[in-house]
Amino acid sequence: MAQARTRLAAALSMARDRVGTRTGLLVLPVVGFELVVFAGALGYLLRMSFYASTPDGLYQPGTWTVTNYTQLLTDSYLQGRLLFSLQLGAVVTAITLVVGFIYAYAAWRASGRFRAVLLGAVLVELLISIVIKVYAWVPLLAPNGTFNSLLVGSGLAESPVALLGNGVGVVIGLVYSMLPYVVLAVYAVLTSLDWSHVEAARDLGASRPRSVLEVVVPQAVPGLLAGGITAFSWSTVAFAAPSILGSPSERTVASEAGRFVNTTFDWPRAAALGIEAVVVVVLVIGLAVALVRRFGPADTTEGVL
Amino acid sequence: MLGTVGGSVAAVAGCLGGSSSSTEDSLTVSVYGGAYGNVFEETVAAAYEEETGTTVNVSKAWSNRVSKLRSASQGNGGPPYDIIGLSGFNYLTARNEDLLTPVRYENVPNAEKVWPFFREYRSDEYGVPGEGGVLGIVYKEDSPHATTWSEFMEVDAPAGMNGGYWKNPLLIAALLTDEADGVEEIYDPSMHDAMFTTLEALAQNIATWYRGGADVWSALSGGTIDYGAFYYASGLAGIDNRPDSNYQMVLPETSPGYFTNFCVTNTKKRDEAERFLDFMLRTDIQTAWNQNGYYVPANKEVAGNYAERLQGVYPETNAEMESFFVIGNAEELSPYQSDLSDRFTEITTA
Repeated sequence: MAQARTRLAAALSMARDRVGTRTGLLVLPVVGFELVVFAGALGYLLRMSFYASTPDGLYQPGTWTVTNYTQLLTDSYLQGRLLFSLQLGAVVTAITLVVGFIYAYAAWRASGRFRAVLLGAVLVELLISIVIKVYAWVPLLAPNGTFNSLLVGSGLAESPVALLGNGVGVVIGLVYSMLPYVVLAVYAVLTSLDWSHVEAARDLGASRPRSVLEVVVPQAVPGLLAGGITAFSWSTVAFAAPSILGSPSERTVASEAGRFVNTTFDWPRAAALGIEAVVVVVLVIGLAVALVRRFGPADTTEGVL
Repeated sequence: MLGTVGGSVAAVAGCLGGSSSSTEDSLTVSVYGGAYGNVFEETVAAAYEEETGTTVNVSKAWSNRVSKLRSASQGNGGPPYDIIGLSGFNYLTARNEDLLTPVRYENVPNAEKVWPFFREYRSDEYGVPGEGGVLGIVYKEDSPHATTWSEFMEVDAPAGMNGGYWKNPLLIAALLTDEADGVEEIYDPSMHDAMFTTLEALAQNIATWYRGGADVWSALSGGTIDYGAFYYASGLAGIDNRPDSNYQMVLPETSPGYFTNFCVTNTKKRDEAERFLDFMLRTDIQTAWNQNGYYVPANKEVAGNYAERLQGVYPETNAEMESFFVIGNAEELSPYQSDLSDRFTEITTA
């Protein structure tokens, strides 16, 4: 009997090893793709950031210097733009998470055609180019645009409110653009949640809001985290929405990098700024995940980082 | 290794975007975007297609063209454009990066008709001058507006100016600064502080620092501004396209401007590209280009036959042409451009 058990354990172990090797092989193309497209491009960017700048071209080939980083770190204007970009990312992420959770919850609780319409709406938004989506907000937010016509017409405002060419327009455009990623991530998690847990909480006396806050929200944390990371990393380095819906005051690090690439033709400076932005965004996300691990519900960050 | 990666990425981009040499009987021409690109496509490119049977693909964009040309040159598919229209720092950078091929002027006999001012202002070794333009003021007819650059600081109405590129606003600031003649302040670092002080005063009345033509029209129609600095030719063309609007253009006596050198890239279609450049400079084509797009023609034979609304506005002699354009010399400004751009951006961001 004991011998049979040993044989069975050995056979299972061999099977596990075989499956593990095959699974590993399946991942190889993805790893190769990531190495070329992601690591390769990032490596190129990193190398570019160490070239010396020149007023006579894009960069000086064959040079190595850390000047781009020392100048960048001591440039109060650019550090201010980085701080602004992080603040913009944080505000957009916070609003998107709240709105996205409510939307995903509504879609989860809806049924039939209503659910299809709610989910279809966010999917359709993903099919539209971000530049077109952002431009669509221009006539809506303009001083004599749709929203202001409604505000003034309904008596809620005496004169047109400034919604375009400032931070309000940028945040609206970015929240709209990021919303599908949060909604779909949260919805995917909610579909695995057992509704009977919520019912049990309510049977035990919890109000509707409390049952959502104490049962649904903790379960949705992995989705909120995944959506939040996407929203934060994209909106922090946003280019289109600040350019189209904002004023120069809403210039992000991406706007500045674009200026160095296309206007002053200082590619090493643009690359150094890009690398700094990547490092800072990764650090902030790492900190957020660590905080959720420390203070959030158990096992909610598994697979995220 | 990194070069290989860059080359591979560029090659993939080339496959996706299509290289200039993808079709034998075609040329790809890169020009500015907006109304400029449309007029070029409908007037110059269409006429060339009709006469020669060669397809002309017009690639229209305001920015990223030199960077794209530089990036794609690392691949094997050839440059993304056969011809590219460039001015200022774009022309200088493309030349310095060896992205352009010298023009064989024996193949472009119509270049003899180009105003000497255009040919002599900067090297035309890598590109024939095609057209030029100056900054004017677009305004709503029934609203208060400036008619001179100094009035930008005086008229009590929301104004707009291009904030995407530093050179023209700084040239205006230099014009309004009395430290030296003309715009000399921009070339002398010791006068930069005075010039930026003027710009800060100017910025007080700027409600919107827009980034391109589309922004100008949306700012006007949306009520964000009542008037703004905008290219005179593009403004007139834009007004033509908005017959129901009450917009007008005015050209101050002295204005910042540009002219474009049309350059042949390192393409295999050098002969065909030079044929196109010669065609573009023909008097009938230059006249049609001026009639439809209102740009200042490089060909001096068009003088006297300008579009009706430009009669008496555009110069008709080389001497007038010299005083008409206030152009920031890219080669002279090159050592300071990073600093000037930084300081300008900081003011517009404040």
